[in-house]
Order: sequence, then C-alpha cells, then structure tokens
Amino acid sequence: MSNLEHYPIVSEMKGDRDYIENYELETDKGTKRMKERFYETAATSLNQFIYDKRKNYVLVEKALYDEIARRFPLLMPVDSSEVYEKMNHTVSDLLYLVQLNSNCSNSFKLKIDYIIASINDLTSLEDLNQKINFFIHRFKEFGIGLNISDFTYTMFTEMYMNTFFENPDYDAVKETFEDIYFKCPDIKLQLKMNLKNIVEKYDKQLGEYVILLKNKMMNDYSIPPTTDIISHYVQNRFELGDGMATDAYYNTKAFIDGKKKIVDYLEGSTTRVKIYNSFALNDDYYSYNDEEKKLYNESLMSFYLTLNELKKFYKYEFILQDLISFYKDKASAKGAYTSKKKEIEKEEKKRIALNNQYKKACGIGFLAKVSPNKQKFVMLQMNNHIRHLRDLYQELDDLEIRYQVSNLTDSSSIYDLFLVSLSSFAFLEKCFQTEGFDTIDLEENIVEYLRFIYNPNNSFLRKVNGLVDYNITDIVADKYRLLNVDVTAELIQAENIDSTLQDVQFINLIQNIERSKITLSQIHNLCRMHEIIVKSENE
Amino acid sequence: MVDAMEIQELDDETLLDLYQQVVDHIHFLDSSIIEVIEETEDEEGDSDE
Repeated sequence: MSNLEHYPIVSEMKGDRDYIENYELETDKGTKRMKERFYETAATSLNQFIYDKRKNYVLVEKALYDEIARRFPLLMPVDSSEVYEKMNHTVSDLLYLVQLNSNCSNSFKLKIDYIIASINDLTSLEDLNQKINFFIHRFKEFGIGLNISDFTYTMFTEMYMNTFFENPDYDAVKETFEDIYFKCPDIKLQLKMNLKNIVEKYDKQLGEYVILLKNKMMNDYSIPPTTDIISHYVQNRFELGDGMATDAYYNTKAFIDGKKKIVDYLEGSTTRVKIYNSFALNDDYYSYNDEEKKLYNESLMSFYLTLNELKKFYKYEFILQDLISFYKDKASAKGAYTSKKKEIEKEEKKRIALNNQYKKACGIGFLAKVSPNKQKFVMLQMNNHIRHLRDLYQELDDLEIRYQVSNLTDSSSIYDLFLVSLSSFAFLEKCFQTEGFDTIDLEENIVEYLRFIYNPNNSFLRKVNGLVDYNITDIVADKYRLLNVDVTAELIQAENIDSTLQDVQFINLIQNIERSKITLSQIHNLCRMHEIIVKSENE
Repeated sequence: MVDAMEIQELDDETLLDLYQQVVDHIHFLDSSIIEVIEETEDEEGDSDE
C-alpha cells in the first residue's frame, strides 16, 4: 500500500469522514416537535453537504479512472506469440531433422509407415483409396513413380490397382472392389502388405531421398554439416522453452485471466511462505542467508524441470520394462530373427510362384492354357498363403525389436534403451495402441515420445544404467536431497507427483518472473487496473 | 481536488490506491445519506417537554 497521507484529497476525505461521523443530528433542547424539526433540518443540511462533496469526488474518480484506462494498454507487455510460433515451427523441424539422422527406418523417417499403419479393419473403401493415392503421391515426391507393376503382390491387388490406375474415382473402384471382395475378403490386408512390399523394394532409393532431405533441411536452416544435430535441436528447444517461461506477456496473462491469484505469489503471502518452507530442509527458507537462498532456488529450478521429465518417464516406463525383458532373453534373439527372415524369403518365393501359376491359368505366358478351375484353386491358395505371410511378418516384427535390443551392452543407459525402441516402428505402433494413448493419433504420440527422448532436461535418464535394477524415483529424490531440497521418494512417485509438481511449479513461476522483464508488483498493478476497467465496462 | 498533471505524475500503485480510496469514500458518502420523512403539520398528541 502506498503512502497517501500527504495528498490533500486524502486529508479532505478524512475531514469529510470526521465531519459526517461527528455531525449533530439531534438536540435535547425544546419540545418534541422542535426536536423533530431540528433533526429534519440537520439531516437535510448534512445530505446537501454530502451531495456537494459527492459531485466533486465523482469527477475525481472519473479522472483517476481515465488515467488507469490510458495507462493499462501502455503498461501491458507486448504479445510475442507470433515469434514463439515461428520458433516452435523451427524446433519441430529440427526434431524431424534429428529423426532423419536417427536409427529409425527410412519408411519411418519419411512417414510412409503412418500411411500403412492407418489401414485397418475399420478403414472404409473411400479412405483406403485416399491412402493409396497419398502413398503413390509421396513416392512421387521421393522421385519414384509407382505403376501397376509395383502392385502385383497378389492377383487381387493387381486387379484392384488396374482399375485404380485407370480411374481412381470411387464409383469405378467400388465396382471392382465388390467384384473382388467375395473371392478375396482380405483385399485390404493384401493391399496393405503390397504397400509394405513396395517399401522394402525401394528401401535403397528411400535412403537416398532421406540424405537429400537431410541436406536440404541443414541448408535451409544454415546448419554447418559438422554440427551435432541433437545438440542443435536441444539448444533451440531450450531457448524457446526458456523464452516462453520468462515471457512477460504470458506470465501477466496467466494472472489477468484469473488462472492464478496474484496475491498468493506476492512477498509475504501465506501461500508463498508455506510453499517455500515446504522444500527447505530446515522448514524455514526465510532464515537462509543470500547464498543459501541462491542455492535453494537453483536446486528448485532444476528440480522442476526434472520432475516434468520424471512424470513423462512414468508414462513411458512400460516401454522400458518391455525392452529390459527383451534384453534378458537376448541370447537367442539374433538367431531367431535371422531364421525368421529366411523363412519369410522362402514364403515370398512361394507367393511369386502362386502368382505365376495364376497367370498361366489365365493363358498368359509360354504354353499357358486358360483354366477357370485352376484360377479359382490358385486364388484360394493365395488367400491362405497371404494370411500365413501376415503371421510370419508379425512374428518378424516381434523378433526385430528383440534383435535390436540384443545389440546393447550391459552398461547401456535408460536413454540408450529408449533410443533402441526407435528402430522398430511396429514396436512403437503396438506400444501406443495401449490405454492412455488413444486421445491423439499415432504420429502425435510418436512426436511426443521423441520430444521426451531428446528433451534437454532428462539427463537423469542418460546417466542411469537401464539394465540393472534401477529405481528412478529414489535416484531423483536422493539427488535433490543432496542439493538440500526437502523431498522424499514418496512425494515424487507416480501417484503423488502431480501435487508435488504443482507446488514446485508455484516457485518456478516466481523464479521465471524474477528473471523476466516484469516484476510481480507490476503484474499486481496490471491485474488491479484490469479489474477496475472490466468492472466499469460491465456497469 | 487533484489536477490532471498531478494524476499523470502518480506512480501506478499510488494511482490505484488513490482510486480505491475515492471509490470507497463515495460508497461511504452514499451510505451516510439520511432518508428524511416529512411529517404533517397538524399532528395530535404533541406535548411540550
């Protein structure tokens, strides 16, 4: 509260109060009638005094209000959302560049896997055609022109795609689809497997395109070729995050919009004192000297960032547990994977042989004879064979991630384990089909997962060995206790981390504002001004 | 009472505190107004005390 005592108007208001409170409205002299008349006259006179004064104060109120309304937009920090949006776009592109440089497969890097993964039992015919169209379009971008010869996985895929290439219109394809469907209810599956087959066929060219894309992006962002891309991404991400956290506009808005109560954050507020004390080992933050306060605040800042990552770690911990169990069975992984690949090679040759038999039964080729019965027989065989191949590929997917994990060593960190998961799109697809990941689509889930893996604040993952019995909760709690933060493992377990995070976030917001271009006091004034203006506009 | 120049020179906190005080004072003045009920001239039972 400011010192207003020396302002004449304040003295005048005080004088008014004294006058009014001490004003004689009654007399004990005279008759009852005289007393009533005295009262009437006194009251009327007092009221007149009040009316006259009030008129002036209303003018003063207006003048003060006009000044508040004039100052508010000038004092309100500038909204830099557009700048952050641009930075965010850059950070997203850099994350993609990190992925292009990673151990993901080429089809994963080029997002072809998402198209294939999106074809499922619920995909309508119209959607299926759109996805196939998009798939062909993407390959064109890679410099690969697909045609009917790429869609001969089975006789059915060839029939379907013949119509598709002639006329991709829904009605034309629908007729062919209905014609094929009863001979091949698995046409969607077969087309899906055909797309996967195309990906494998052109893997080398896809790899060349990935290099081209990577170089183009490095050029567009003026990144020197020798740069460590992950560090570059992390730096940009940190700058964006820190910029937004200390942004005067965002922090002010949070209070003005009523999301947070400014009075709770001001020096001396009960809430603030309680929370600061709750993480001080001696329960009394305010007894610390300046150096101790500085260390405390640094520790809390790091603690906040770590807790955010710990919370995400709990979300993805089930992936880690799967990978650890795969590692424990690693002895047989390589052999099983290689053997499965050989088995699939053999079965793919059988598929090609079936296709050739069908062509012969259609009268195509040397000494070929048309035989409708033979055609029907081979079609039936093909349907069964494709189902068998589907099962083999699923087994291969399961073995692939095990094989990749088996290449780790006993000293691999948790971070190394998470990185290995990127080598198998099929594994990640399965992980993100579990409960808790269904509010957003697969691609968004994977991007969030990548952001977690490459986050600058998850150093605790890089330093902890993933293949011994670890307890991240204990490790984090112990670390911060050593840094004089009063925290127990229980407070940061999955069930309790949200409420601990809320308190740490409280302190973190104060720290961010203290590092910013606006003070809590200025924000408080802006909130008061805003409240006054809104109230006036509503009257 | 307070001129325009003076108002512009006030710092933000003082401006707000002063504004609040004036608003509170106007409320106080409003609540101090007395309702005066006019009595009729020929009331019976008026006694001298």
